Amino acid sequence: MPEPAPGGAHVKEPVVPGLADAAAAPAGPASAPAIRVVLADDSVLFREGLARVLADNGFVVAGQAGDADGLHAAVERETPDVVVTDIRMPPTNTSEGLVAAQRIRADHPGVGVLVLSQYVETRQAVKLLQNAPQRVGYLLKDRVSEIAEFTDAVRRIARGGSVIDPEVVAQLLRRRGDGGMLELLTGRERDILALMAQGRSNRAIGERLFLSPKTVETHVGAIFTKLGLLPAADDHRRVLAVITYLKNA
Amino acid sequence: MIGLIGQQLGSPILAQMVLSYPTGRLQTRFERLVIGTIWAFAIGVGVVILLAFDPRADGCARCAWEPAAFPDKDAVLTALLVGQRAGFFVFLLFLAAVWLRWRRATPAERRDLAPLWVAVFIYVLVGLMGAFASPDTTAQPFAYLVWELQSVLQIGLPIVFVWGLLSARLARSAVGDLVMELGRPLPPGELRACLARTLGDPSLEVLYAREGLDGWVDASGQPGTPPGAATGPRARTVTVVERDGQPLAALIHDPALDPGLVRAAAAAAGMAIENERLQAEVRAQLEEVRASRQRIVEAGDAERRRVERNLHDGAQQRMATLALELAMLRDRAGGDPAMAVSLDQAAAELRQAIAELRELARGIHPAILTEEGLPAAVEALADRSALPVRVRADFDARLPGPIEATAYFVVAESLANVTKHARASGARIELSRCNGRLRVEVTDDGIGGADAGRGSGLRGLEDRVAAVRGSFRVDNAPAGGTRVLAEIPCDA
Repeated sequence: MPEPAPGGAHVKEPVVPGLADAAAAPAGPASAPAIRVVLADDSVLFREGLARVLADNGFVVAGQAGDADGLHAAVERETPDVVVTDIRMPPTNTSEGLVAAQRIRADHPGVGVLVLSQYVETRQAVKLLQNAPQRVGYLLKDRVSEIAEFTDAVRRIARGGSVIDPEVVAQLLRRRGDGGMLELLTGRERDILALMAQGRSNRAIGERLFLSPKTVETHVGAIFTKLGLLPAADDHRRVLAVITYLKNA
Repeated sequence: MIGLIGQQLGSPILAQMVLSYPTGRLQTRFERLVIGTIWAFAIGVGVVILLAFDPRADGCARCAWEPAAFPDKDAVLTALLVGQRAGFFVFLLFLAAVWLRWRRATPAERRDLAPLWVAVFIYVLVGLMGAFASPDTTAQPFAYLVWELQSVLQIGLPIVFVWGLLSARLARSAVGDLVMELGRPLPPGELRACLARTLGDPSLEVLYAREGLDGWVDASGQPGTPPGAATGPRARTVTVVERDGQPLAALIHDPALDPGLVRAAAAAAGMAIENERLQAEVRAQLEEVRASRQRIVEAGDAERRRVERNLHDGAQQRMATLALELAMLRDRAGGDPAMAVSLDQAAAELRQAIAELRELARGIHPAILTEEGLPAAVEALADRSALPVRVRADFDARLPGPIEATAYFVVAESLANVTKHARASGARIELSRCNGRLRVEVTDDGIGGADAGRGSGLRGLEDRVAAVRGSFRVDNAPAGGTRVLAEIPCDA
């Protein structure tokens, strides 16, 4: 059941001052309007829990759905900033969420999609990154219990970034083994590579590793040179480039 | 006079012989009608000629004198003319009867009838030419030639006829050849070919009775059903071969075959039939065991899928929700450090439980196998392997569920073995499809020495692969290390 969005119609881009009601963003970072989210999961309990977490953290839950059809209807109706959807939903209980994510990204370029799954598979992550350019995320379902991490992921997607589960990145790095070009990277560079692959910005990487943005930038440049990658224009392209590199030996 | 009668009665006799061959009986009402018409017609014309023909009236000095009751040359000529012109239409009727008979004939009958009918066809052709020639044979060389040909054929036809009957008798001597052929060991199904050759019926089928069961199987052990007592143009005859009152085999053959010949052949092949029946019985039982093993494996897979799905929709979902609730509690308990620590510990414990449950569920049945198929699931296995694993798959299509599951477990078990025992630095997995077979190959660069005979893991894989008619082999890779190779038939 959709909750009416406070402040009435929400216009995304360009943001119209005055309509972007300040009251709708009680705890959002800076004074940006609250991020509007549509949730899809066939478990009502989990969905309600997620809705509470998001609402407590300054998001507006604009709609909820229990299957892919309901999700598409809610997206048509609400045009949210971000959709958070389970990958496995009725009727076939396979990868509806993934298919829905790609369709939403194609039909609504302004709507980001975060796909949650009980299992993370690199193949699905790569497929999502490749078929749904920008504003996508793929996280293990239990990451939502790390509330700060989870809400940060939703915000990054709303801002146009991409989020990949650390487990996927770890699998990719492990599978590449210690052979090949990755050998050339220093330990610090490998840490930075992993964070880049998760979709972190230079600033976030710096905060995490206690490095200045300038230092991070230097490391990133070195990584790209060593791996023979072309410098990426934005965070999303950077994620795609790194993940694709790791995936294809 | 006798010559005259004979000349007139030759055609009806011939026609009747042709249509009633080889049994001597006319089979349909139409055939009887046609033959009756021919007889009536020939006798009618014959009687007129007999009563009115005076050979001496033509000035045939050498002709024997025979008294004519009513010598009348015109009547004779008219009768001859009418006879030949109307005879044409009687010929057409006869041809129709022959054509219907051919249509009704089974392949074996056609083979028996063919030589006779070729001769009849030539005879009819010549007859037709005669019908359009002048009855005055002395005036035209062509008409004379036709007349001569007719005579030759009238003599030739009975010879063909006799030869045809004789060859049916000669078929029995083929049974002798059969006995010789059966002296050597026969590959499966060869007995059918031998019998078919002997009886001259390529469509012959042989089914064997199951021991103590109400059922029939072919030589390869596949179940079959002998046709019931059907009638109609394509009906088949079933000859049951018995021993001590128990059915051994059923020969399903063309009804045109001589029943005596079929029984003679079956008797001659008695030992071979008995042998092949036993082999068919063993094959049928093997197939039943294999099918039941496949059903057991499939039931197991279905159960695994069900358990995984229940875990996913039940315990895993609830634990994820619980983790969320704990996290929210933790957020609110910010002011109470002791409570915060306890909640953090509980959350960490829960995360571990969720991770373990996830691995357990994945081991029971990987969701990605159901969702995205074999290559994706194998890649996912490689992704999580402790060793670097290279995967090469030359297809992305979905295969039947039992085949996907079998191939997946071959890879999963083999990779687990590589990690545990091989002391390898890496492994390679190749999935390929060729000629309707799925080939799964797992090679490592370790110490080798794995043995399919030892270790329940590999043994279990071998059983699983066999249940889907596949072959399984473990050997040493050419470059050292171990290679596990499974080949499974899959519908292309």
